[in-house]
Amino acid sequence: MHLKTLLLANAFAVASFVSAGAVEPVGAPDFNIASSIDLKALDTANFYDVLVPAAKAEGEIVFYDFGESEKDLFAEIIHRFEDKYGVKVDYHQVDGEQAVQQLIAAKQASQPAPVDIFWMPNGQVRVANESGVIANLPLNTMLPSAPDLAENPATVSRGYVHGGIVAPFHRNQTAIAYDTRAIEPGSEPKTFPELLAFAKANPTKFAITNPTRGGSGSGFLETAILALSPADCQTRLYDYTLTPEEAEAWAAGPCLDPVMAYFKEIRPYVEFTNGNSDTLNLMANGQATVATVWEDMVFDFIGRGLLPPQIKSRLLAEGEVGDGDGAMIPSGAQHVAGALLFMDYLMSDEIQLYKLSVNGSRSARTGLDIAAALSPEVVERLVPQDQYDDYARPRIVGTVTDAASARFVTEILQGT
Amino acid sequence: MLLMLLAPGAGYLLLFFGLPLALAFLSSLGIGTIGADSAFTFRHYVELFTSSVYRDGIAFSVYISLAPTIVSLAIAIPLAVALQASFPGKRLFAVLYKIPLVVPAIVAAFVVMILFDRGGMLSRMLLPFGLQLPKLVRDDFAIGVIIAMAWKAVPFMALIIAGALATVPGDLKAAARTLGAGRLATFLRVELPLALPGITAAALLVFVSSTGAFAVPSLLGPIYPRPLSIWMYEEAMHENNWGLASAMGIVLSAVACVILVAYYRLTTSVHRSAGGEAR
Repeated sequence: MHLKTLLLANAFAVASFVSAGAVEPVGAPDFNIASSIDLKALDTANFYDVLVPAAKAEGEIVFYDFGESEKDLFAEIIHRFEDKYGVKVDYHQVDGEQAVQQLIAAKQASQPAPVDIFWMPNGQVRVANESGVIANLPLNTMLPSAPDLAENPATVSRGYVHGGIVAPFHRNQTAIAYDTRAIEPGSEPKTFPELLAFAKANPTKFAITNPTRGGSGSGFLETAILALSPADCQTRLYDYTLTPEEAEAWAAGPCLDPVMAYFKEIRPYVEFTNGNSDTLNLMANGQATVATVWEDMVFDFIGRGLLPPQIKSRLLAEGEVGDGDGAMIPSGAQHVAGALLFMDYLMSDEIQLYKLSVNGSRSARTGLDIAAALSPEVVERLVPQDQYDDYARPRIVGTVTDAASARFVTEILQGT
Repeated sequence: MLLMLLAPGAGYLLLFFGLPLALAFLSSLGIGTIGADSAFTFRHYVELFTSSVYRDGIAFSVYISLAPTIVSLAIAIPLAVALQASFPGKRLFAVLYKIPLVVPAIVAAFVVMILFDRGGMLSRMLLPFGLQLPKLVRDDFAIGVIIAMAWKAVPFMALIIAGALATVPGDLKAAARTLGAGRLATFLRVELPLALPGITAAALLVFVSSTGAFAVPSLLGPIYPRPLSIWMYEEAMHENNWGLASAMGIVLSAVACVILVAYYRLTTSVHRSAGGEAR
């Protein structure tokens, strides 16, 4: 299916799904969060007039960061925010999954949430939302700093439609990394058949992250599904009404056969790894010359000297899926005004561009002047912009990914 | 009076061991499960034992508990024997060999990864000689896992076994020697049987502590299978499926209990055959 047709279908599917009200409606008559401010009367016009004094009165907010390498980034962001608004941010670096369980436990015990704003792992949004710990605030439309959010990233996390209650603070893109010390730029594998040919000609030099252990692997599996499954199967890949049972049936059927056949053929020649960092370590050791990666991780590793600058990233010509991790306000948050103000600041031009230049993470903001933020040094460490424009795709429905991963384990890893 | 004296110890065990285990068992049966409606069910156990992936996980958990135990035992016994003797630098050696005891398992895993992974330190050292290490990290036989876990376990085992060997009366060894037994025969027929309770206790403790190993197999283990401990974490933390995670925890605990019972039966029969009283 043509890329633009697929993306249009995807956008339509998201819009239909949200309007069908299959999830808790965003901006519902009753918010599931208690606050001293009148959230129903809050709009983009009076946002700062209402929130700035209220946030100052609250005095501080508690912020959870689940990331592993963004501590310095947030130190700077928090410093700027505190200077601008005079609201203190109590920063905590946490394990994302454990923090979600902490929120669920607090809610079950009818206790307030221990955090006011949480930058959380995208894979946990479904669990958190179904447990009722995410405030149903329409962050996709209510933040004045971010009037130009792309629809899919603003309403979908890892193929799960949340409808806009998680702000797409951080976007990232799966990619193929290659070592230019071993591969002449321009001759790197650019398609799935070329990857297979490379793997056969260079056994163990292509590292693939195990799809059950890291996003660059599950993203690669999704990319393979988009590239290799028959055209008539593709309509369901962005069908957000798909139940887990339907997704399992889809993945168990002939739609996934070509994908499994591809992995069966390539498996003897590749090294599957235990995670995203494990894959990059093999590249750093010079043992892998082509690998499935996250663009921003490669950017970060090169910046920190953990990967040589000769490592480059590119997107496969069939298109590669991208994703991101969003920030949300828990339904039990105690400092709602401050949390909303900080959320707005996180999504602002200033921070989104700063983050891109420091961490190499893309933005869901469509109106940003990206070119102005990119120095030549930054550009060198990113996927070429034309490839990003042409080949980046949203992740497919999460239930399909889960079902496909389960089949991958039994058919490719277990080998039955 | 006796009950009152037992109360602190028994109460501690009940509160911090019995209660969590009971709650986990109930959760595995669908009762009081976090994030789910409470309803009695066996489906978590059915899923655990009917899924070939999880069955492989159980078998792999036993494998990565048993293999490091055997390897550690093979190293710890000679080490413990050596520690009975006097040799130059013994005091320094006695300190150095205990270092792995205080090194966290995850650090041990990274040490093994840095040394033995493809392109790791040893590979680079061997390269000029045209030599190549076999695959030791992410390998099908979990050799890297066994190396890391055995490295951690050897000093622990050696300490216990050395203690057990030290309790063997010197008169007995001397008597054996005067009756014509060589050093090896004395060790095999006198010291080893008498130290057996300590040796089996050390092996048992290493085995049981290995059944729940997470960091080492997560970093160094093969892509497939994965031990139950890792599936347990994923089900609880990624899928919010605490019922299945609890069932996995109960099965892992049951494996450890079976080994414990086997240990007591073994030591009892050994004790009886040696003419001692049954415990």
